This record gives sequence, C-alpha cells and structure tokens, in this order.
Amino acid sequence: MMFRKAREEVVETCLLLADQGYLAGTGGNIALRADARHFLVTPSATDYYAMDAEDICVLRLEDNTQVEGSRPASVESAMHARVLRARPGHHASIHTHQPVASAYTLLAQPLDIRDGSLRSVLGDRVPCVDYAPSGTDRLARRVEEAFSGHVQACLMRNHGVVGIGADAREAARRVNALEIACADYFLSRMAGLPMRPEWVGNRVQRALQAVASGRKEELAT
Amino acid sequence: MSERTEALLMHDLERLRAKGLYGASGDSFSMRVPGTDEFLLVTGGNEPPGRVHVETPPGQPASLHARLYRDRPDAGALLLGRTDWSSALATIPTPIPVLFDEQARHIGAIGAPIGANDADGLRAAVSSGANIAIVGEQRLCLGATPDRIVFNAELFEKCATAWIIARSSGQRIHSLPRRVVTELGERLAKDQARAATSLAAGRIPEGMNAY
Repeated sequence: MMFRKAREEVVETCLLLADQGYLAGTGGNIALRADARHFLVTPSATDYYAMDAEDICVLRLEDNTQVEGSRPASVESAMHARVLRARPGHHASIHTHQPVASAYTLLAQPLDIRDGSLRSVLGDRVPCVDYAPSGTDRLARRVEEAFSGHVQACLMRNHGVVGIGADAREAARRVNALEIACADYFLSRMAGLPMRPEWVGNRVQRALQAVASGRKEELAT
Repeated sequence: MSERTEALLMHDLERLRAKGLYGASGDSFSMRVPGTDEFLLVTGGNEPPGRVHVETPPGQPASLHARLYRDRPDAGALLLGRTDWSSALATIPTPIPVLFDEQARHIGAIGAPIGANDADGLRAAVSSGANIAIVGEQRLCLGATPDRIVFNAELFEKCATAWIIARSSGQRIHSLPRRVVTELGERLAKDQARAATSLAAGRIPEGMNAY
C-alpha cells in the first residue's frame, strides 16, 4: 500500500475531528500532500468510524487521477488539490462542517479576528467565499482564489470551512481557532440582543461559551 | 432477515446513544423488516426490540411508527426523540430554511413544528418526502436504513444548531438558492424511490450517496 503511514494519519485526524463534532455525519474531508506528485484524500460519503487506511484515496496532484484507494475519492478532491497546488508550503487541507463556524457561514461575510492569540493562528481576517454547490469546479476555484494570498482559513457560504497547515495538526489547530473566533463573534452579538424564549438564549450562550473557553484551552496546549 | 435487522438496529442504537442522539425519556427507534409488514421497535432502555405489525400496533409510540411506515414506503428506519435543539426549534414557529446542500440532499425541507398529537399535520409534514419533522418537542427522523438515521439525526443537529446560533446574531441569514434546493430534492426523491423498491423486494437499501 502506498503512503501507509500518512494514510493512517488521515484516518486519525478524521476520528479526532469527528469526535469534536466537526464532520456532521459524512460531511467534511481531509487532504494531505503525500509527495511532490500525490496527495491523499478521504473517500466520498464514508462513515469515518468505519474507515481504514486502505480506504484513503491516493490522487495525482496534477490532474486528480485516483491511483489507489478502495472507494471513490471525496467530491471535494479538486478543491483540496487546487489549495495544495496554490500553497506549496502547506501540506494539509482540512474541510469541516463544524457547528459554530457553519452557523457563521450563513451570514455570508468575512470574519475579522479581534483576539490576539487567535490572530496569530488565523491572521487578521478570514474571508468568506460566495456560495457554489458542493463538489463543483466553481466552488473549488473560489476556494483556491481565497487561498491565493496569505490566508490560513476560509469560510464557505452555506457550507463550512477550510483550514490549511504545514501538517494535519496545524490545519486542525486552525479550524479549531476559527470555531472559537466564530463563537466569540456570536457571544458579542448576543450581548446586545436578548433571545426569546430565554431558555433558548441561555442554551445558545452556554454552547458558545463552552466552545470559546474549552477550545481556547486546547489551543494553548 | 429478522436477525440481521435486529443486529443493524441495535448497532445503530448504540451509535445514537454514543453521540447523545438517543436516550431521553420517550425516545424510540425502529427498523422495518424488509419484505414484511412488520418492524422492530426499541423504546427507552435496554430491552430487546419488540416485533410490531404495521396495521395493528398497540399504543404510542408504536402506532406513530406504524402509521409512518404505512405512509412512507421508502422509510426503512425511524427515530423519534428529544434533543436540546429539537426542543428549541419547537418554540420557533418559523420553519427552518434549507441552509446547506446536504440538508437539501438528505433531509429535504423541514416544515413548521407540529403538535405531538396532530396526526394530520404529521402526515402532511412527511408527505413531501421530508426526512425530519418537529413533533411536539421531539424530532422525527426518517431514513432508508438505521445507518442513514444516524447521519440524518447528526445532520439535523448541525442544521438546527447553525440556524438557531445564526438567529442569535440578529443578522440576515442566507438560504440556499432555490434552483439548488430543487435539484438536490429531486435526487433525494430518486433515492427514496429506489429505497422503497428495495424494501418491498425484501432487501435492505444500499448505502449513502454524496451529493
């Protein structure tokens, strides 16, 4: 099997993100650069808890041709390939459907990062790309364009997020930081807008505070 | 087939429990026995599933599951249960819009909340092919297989969480373009037609498709 160790790392990263509730069913996918000519990507519509290293697909970076893997590659493979080609210094691209940032994508606007520690991970601003259907070349091009500068993560309207990194750990750290930044944003908005009924407002607030505080501790480690 | 049905049901019951999607008081989970007029039903705790006929079920929630299996031949499994977000949605009369591709593809349009004993409202809510309805404070989840129920229930949590959190900002919330909702809804309808054919022929429907 080609790239066994790296494929096992993709499986481990998926389980980590699924445990955090970032992959919502079969949503989200992960890509890792395997060498100069190949990248690894999760298979399409697969239960992450039943996935083995053999299921991870090996694709040619140049044209997305699948050269190994027991299942069809993720419908977002072309998007990951474009991102990895656009950012040769980054070897991991993680796309999630994480709950709070997904909520933020419904607002269809970029996110300014105010917290200093989050800014060091995400930069000053996280762009939001306009809607395009999942798995389309239009969406892949928009995401590639968003990553053409020094951007480390981007939001996709009515969809989810993409974070990149030198490795899977750094990319996962970025999507975590984005979840916190979005929770901070909603908490600040809620402060001036009491939600009715009150218990729903309290429930939302507790959920956001848990993300903001809990994940900040994770981020610091 | 019955033994395999029970194994699948119990396997996915554990997955639902592990994800916090089953276990509240009044929760129930069932799977149609393909090719028969019966389904296996789990209510509450750790008892083995009971076998129920779709025409003569005794009491709730069996009668509700039975009615849905009669009305929706594509439904291979059903989950009825309460989560924090389903209770929250029950307080909001506006139906949750179609917000995400996978919502349109696998769940369909979720109607406005309906009363716990509103049989006609429930029939109307699922007749369009929607795989989620808010019934009282519970969410009803339909799917071709128990596996699909796990994913649809997770997907519902994502959609409900995102919508309620986004509403808390007081800002405009963007929905999916209508043409996309229509196109993905047509794919869902095709999947449901295939599932109904498989179940009638005594086969468990095939697994999940992406978009």
